[in-house]
Amino acid sequence: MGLAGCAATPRREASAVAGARVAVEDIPPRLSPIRAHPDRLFDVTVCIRPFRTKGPNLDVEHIGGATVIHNYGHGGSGWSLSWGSANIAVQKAMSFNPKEIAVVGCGVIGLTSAIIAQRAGAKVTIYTRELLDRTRSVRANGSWTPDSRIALAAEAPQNFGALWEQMARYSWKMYRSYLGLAGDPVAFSDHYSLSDTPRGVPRPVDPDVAPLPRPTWTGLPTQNSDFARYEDRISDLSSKPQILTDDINPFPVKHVSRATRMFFNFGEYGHLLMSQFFAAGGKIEIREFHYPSEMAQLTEKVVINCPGYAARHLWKDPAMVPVRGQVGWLIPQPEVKYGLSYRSVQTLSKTDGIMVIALEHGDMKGYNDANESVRRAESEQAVRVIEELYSRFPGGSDKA
Amino acid sequence: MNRKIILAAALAAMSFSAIQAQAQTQRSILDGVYTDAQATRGAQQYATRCLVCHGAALEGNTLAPPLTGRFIADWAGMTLGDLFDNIALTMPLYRPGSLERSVNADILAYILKVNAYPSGSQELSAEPEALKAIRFDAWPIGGGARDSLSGARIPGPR
Repeated sequence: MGLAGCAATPRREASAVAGARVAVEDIPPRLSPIRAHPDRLFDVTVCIRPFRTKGPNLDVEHIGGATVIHNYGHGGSGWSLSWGSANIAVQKAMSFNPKEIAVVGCGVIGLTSAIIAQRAGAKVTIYTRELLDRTRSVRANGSWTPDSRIALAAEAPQNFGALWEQMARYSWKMYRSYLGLAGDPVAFSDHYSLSDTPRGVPRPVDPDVAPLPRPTWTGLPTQNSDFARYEDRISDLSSKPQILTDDINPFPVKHVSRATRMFFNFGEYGHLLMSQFFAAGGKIEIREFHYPSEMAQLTEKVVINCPGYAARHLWKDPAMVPVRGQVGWLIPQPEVKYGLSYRSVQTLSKTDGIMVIALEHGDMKGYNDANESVRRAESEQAVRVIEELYSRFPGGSDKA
Repeated sequence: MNRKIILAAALAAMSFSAIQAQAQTQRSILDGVYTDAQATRGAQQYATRCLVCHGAALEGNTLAPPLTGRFIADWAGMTLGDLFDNIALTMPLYRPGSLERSVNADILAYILKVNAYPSGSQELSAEPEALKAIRFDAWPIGGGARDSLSGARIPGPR
């Protein structure tokens, strides 16, 4: 397989290639191919991102005799910002000096809020409809994407950039303590961005991709640039993309760059979070809320409210907009230790499967779409893009 | 019987002491115990003396504790005098006890302001007795506090 082409080249020779821009230690390792075939799609999941046009709601509200601290509306950045957002919500909660705290919701925002509250000294009960493994959280992408659909630039509060940075940096520090553990709850991997055209040059229109329908809702947004971006604030946290020169490019595509990204293995990481919560004496009560007033009936008088997308109905928050996302799951291949993007399809190899995600139309994809039914054909089409990519490698004896 | 009388008298004396203590600490940080101008001075001092460890939003870092949230829970039930003494004794970390009492009072005013405690018409005194007479209360559950993010006063009973 051509993927292993670079591995056949002694590294010392590679470093001597004239004009090589990548240092010898950065030459891509031997890459195992992804067995991308539609029949290996063993699951397709759909998630509604809890996008809030104004950015996450962290306000304090009083209902009856209870004080509610909101923590919802993290769009495509929930996993990434969870710890930092939880910390802000818990600090507010602790300002009331409660001995007991209720957390509503057991997605990644609720669970991290509960753990941070325990660390702050409170006894915590989570009230939830579902446990983590059945929430929308685990149907998300689960990569470090802290400013993915986090707010609309025109609607984010003026001070939100600073608050976002505080959340992102706190989370990043917290994830440090989950690296290097058995089962890789949190890990890094290389991500290869493949393009038929040079960086910065628009791709030709793909006839297979239908154009976006005209927006049927009122107001913003209509294009990717309408979404707020803050990544420049934390540029010191991430490694910079490297352009792979022809002599070390392992792919049959002309333009390739590589960056190293952090991601979360839902199974192991989720299990670890649940275990930590229980080990610290946490309790869970299965319960569904229909009206905000029900929160005043809880034993705990300080409540951290983490309902995710359900806030749209439960709190009638008009700023909440559904953003549909779908992931196709290929059978796990532990030997595949990288991800790639090509022709608007992204893959990411995790311990519980290889994610395949169609990304055409960027941040606008799925906007205002609350349909959580599976569209398998979309995932199969995305898999075929990757299948076609690997079919261009010469077959044969060099299979990794 | 005599024993009971003695016990009752002792209890009464203790209660009286408690009432006296209560009278001495009848003010609360919820009552507006600093001025905005003082907090502004404190902000300037905080920026040069404290921010490097405790952060621009008083959020703390892995080494220094936050001065919001859990900080309130940690000091709730004590007096501003207790907190003031702690600051005066231990801060700033690189030169503990080096700041004048008036500077520490200004910094304390700023910390109260960031934590959404109301300001008032009188500056926070740096005198030990005055500080000991101010109770450190947490935000009242159910209303009366100010949301530290938006700054908006949250409606509800104190």
